[in-house]
Amino acid sequence: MIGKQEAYALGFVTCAFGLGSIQLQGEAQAFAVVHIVVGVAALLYAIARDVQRLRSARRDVLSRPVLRAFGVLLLTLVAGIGLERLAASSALRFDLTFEGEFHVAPATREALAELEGAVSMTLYRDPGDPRIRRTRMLLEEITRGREIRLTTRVIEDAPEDEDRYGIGSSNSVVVHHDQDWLLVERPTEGALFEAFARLGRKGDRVLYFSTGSGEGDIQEGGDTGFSGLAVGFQTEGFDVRVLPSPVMSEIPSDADLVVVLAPERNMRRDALAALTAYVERGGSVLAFIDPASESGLEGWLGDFGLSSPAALVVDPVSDPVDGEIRGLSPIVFNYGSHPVTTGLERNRNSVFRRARAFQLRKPTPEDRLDALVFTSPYAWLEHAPLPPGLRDLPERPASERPRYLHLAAAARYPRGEHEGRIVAFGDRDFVSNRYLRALYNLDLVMNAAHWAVAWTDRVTLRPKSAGLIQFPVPIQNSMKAFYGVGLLIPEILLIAGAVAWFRQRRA
Amino acid sequence: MRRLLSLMQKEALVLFGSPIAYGVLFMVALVTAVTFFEHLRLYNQILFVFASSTMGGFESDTIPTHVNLIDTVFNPVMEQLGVLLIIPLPLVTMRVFAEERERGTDELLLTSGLSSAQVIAAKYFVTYAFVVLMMTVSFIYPVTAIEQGGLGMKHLASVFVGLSLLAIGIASMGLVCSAFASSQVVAAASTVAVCFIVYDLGWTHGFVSEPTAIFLDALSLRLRFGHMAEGFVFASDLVYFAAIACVSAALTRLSFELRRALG
Amino acid sequence: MPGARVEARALSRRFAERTALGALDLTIEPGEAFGLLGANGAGKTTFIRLVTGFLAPSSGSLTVDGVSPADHPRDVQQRLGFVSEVSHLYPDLGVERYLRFAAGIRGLSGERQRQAVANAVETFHLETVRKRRIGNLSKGFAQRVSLAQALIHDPALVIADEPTSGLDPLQRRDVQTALAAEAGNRTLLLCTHDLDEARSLTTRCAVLSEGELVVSGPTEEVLAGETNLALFRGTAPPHEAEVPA
Repeated sequence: MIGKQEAYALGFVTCAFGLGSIQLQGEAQAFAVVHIVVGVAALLYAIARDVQRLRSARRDVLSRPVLRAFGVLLLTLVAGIGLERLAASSALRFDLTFEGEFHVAPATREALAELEGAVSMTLYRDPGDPRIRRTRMLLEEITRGREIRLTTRVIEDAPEDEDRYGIGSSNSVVVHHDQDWLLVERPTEGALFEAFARLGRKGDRVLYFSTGSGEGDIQEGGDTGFSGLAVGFQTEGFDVRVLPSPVMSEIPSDADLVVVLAPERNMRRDALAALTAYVERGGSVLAFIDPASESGLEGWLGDFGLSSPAALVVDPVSDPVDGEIRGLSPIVFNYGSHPVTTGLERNRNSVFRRARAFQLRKPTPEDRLDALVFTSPYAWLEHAPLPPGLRDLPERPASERPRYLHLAAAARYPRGEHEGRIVAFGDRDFVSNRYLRALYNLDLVMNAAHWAVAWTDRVTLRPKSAGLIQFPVPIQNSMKAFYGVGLLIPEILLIAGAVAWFRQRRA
Repeated sequence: MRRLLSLMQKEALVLFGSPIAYGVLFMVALVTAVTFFEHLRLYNQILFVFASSTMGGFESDTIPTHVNLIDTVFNPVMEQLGVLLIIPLPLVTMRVFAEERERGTDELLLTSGLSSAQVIAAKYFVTYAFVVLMMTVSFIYPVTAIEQGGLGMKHLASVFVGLSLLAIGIASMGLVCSAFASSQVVAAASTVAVCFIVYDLGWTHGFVSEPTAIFLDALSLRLRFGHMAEGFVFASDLVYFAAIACVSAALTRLSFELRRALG
Repeated sequence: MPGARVEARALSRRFAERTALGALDLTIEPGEAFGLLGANGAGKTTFIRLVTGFLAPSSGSLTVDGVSPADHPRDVQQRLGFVSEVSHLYPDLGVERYLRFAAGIRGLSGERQRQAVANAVETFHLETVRKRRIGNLSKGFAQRVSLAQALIHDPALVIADEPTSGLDPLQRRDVQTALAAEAGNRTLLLCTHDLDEARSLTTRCAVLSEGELVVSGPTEEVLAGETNLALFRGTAPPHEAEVPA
């Protein structure tokens, strides 16, 4: 017969194996059942022996010291559970995530604050979905301090909601605002922010996209299209309209902002004159130019002190991106100090695709021109066309010296009572559907639009849709650390263990 | 206090006088470094594939959301190390009380003027200190690697706290088993089994009613340190681990008194 | 006379249905070297554990200098030193470190601790092994270490439970000499199987059998009776004891 202690050990071990089997298999198969039966039997046997022993020694067991120790145990258990529940109800927590993942971005709070009226959110889930905990934490953080009803429902229990809202999977949130609602299928803070913005921000600034001269197509939903940019502006509260540049002789008086997305064909002189007049009377323009084309917009920007030589920026510190060779997709090295770049720092990159650079020269002393985005100090301008089939970084011409180049600039033109504003970008691909949400591109262009229309309280960093660290950790450094301290520490411990062992034997 | 310090010093000397402590430190430090490095390498590799083939990999709709430092590195490393700790820690805790009893030295301790509370406090403190040392030694490499990447040091601190508390939870259960068990082997085997059972009860969702499953899940070690893997330190989780330590100490005290009563 | 007075009145201790010690009446005077004799399972160790406060009595009373070990174990434990079998030591510790620890847990620190350790090393002739690991010592040396730790805080009562168990004759003599040197300085309660040891080290003794005190008196007289010897060996029933006049 096995002893009581061995029976306990056997019981725990076989139960652990049995339960582990159920956990892994998802069902109780013969292996699990046999183990649990044996385990429970062993535990019952051990417990019965203990009970028998305790009963026979009742008087000793019921002595004061034992009862006191038992009382302390009960008290500790009750206090522990009570304090845990208290702490849980207080929801006190410390967010140590990178960049405060659960620190709700000001943009989200502002978008939520603009939702007037009743707001509620329902999280739909399948039982046991591990993502729910994280989503719930996010929703709790977002709704903290606001009267927003937050409920969680099991999808199976709400078939009518499943049909009504088109819920396709667990971990979906439906945001209600008065009579409107929106389904957020991947409820990251970024996705929720956009839902709040769409529900609450009804376009009260009018934005015109210039079209008809080969500008970027805001109807096009593919990678090379710009529909995402238009949707982004709508989300930010702009009433997006189009303005055909071939027939444009005057900018509509209700225009708060005109966006010209790098025309591929020459713009009409009248259209450019209309833009000039518009800026002169205090209008705002977001102008994108591209190394691949000369449309007249470059000259127009030059008249406003934002000249851009017909040359390609080559920045050797920018790695190959998306099939492009090294150096031709400049990743922002630094940002200039300007309201547009508020919150943007060196580790919050934007990435451009084949860009051109600006040279800034004030047309009048009152004007103010600021560079927004810089390349690295090793960049230069490539004036000659790149040879076809080039597979690596082009060689820097002897005539070019490496220097910081300006990939974007912002300008203010005080004219009497008015102040015109232009923000110019040396590339348009970086706001295409493919790249708009890459890194901080969206923030850069949206903040530029907000600044241009003097909507500076909306200049902010939007919550990232992924909301996660998706930047590489330098693997070379990591390898050095691994073969340095990573393996050195275990080695030292092994040696210390051996020394302890031999000292013991010798002493 | 002086007596307590003497006892703690003795505990530390006995612990580090044996190669088992170094063996456990070596094993955990090595596995942490290798596991962390492998996950970091994999993470970089995946990012490289996305970054080099399609820049749109950085776009939320294109790059899988699970490819990030937390889900690709911190969480799986935590998960693997969490389970790993269940094996070596009982090798340390099994000795603490069971060995004293096997050698008969517990009688010397308990008749030397030390109270049982002092004996328990000293042994728990030294074991916890060992656990923290073990985690500190294990985290030197991850800290170095993450620091060089300029990412997530706060998050790594949260992971460190989570794993340390988990280890303290496992050690507490190990100390209770050691206090009740007659032999070290029984203590170690029971600790491993109990910790495996308590480690994760979240899977019971499909087998028992929802409220029961939620209750069981709330008892799981994994749920509690899982929060910290995600960079969130909940006060309720801290209290949970503190409660495990206190209840374990109270159980150990009960084992002392029962032994005195039953002889 | 220096030393502690131990007084047991109707002292009994049961473990479940078994009576380990039944209604024991016993007095050990201060400075006395008292032997507690009996076969295995006679109740000697239970009595020691009751004196040290490790166990609480089921009924009756026990005091050490008027203080009950059950109610105030720490007060009593401050006044006693306990020598157990050789194996009841920490084999991984060095001799000096172990003695420092023994002094430390008895509240000695700083200069007092250093002095106490130095005295113990000198008194028990441990100079040659002070840096050695206890696990690597001979049984004789290990038991000297055990004696040294028990006496390091100069206790009024020394309890020695089978202190020469498992030692060879030479080692046994060493330990007995050390214990004899302490006679008169403090009360000695010696549990032993060894009749010669009892004769040489104790002035009075008691024989326990099946948890009961069957005889007590001057050692020479108690051990003179053949029946008592049989009791001591566990081969005669308790009622056949020859009580000294």
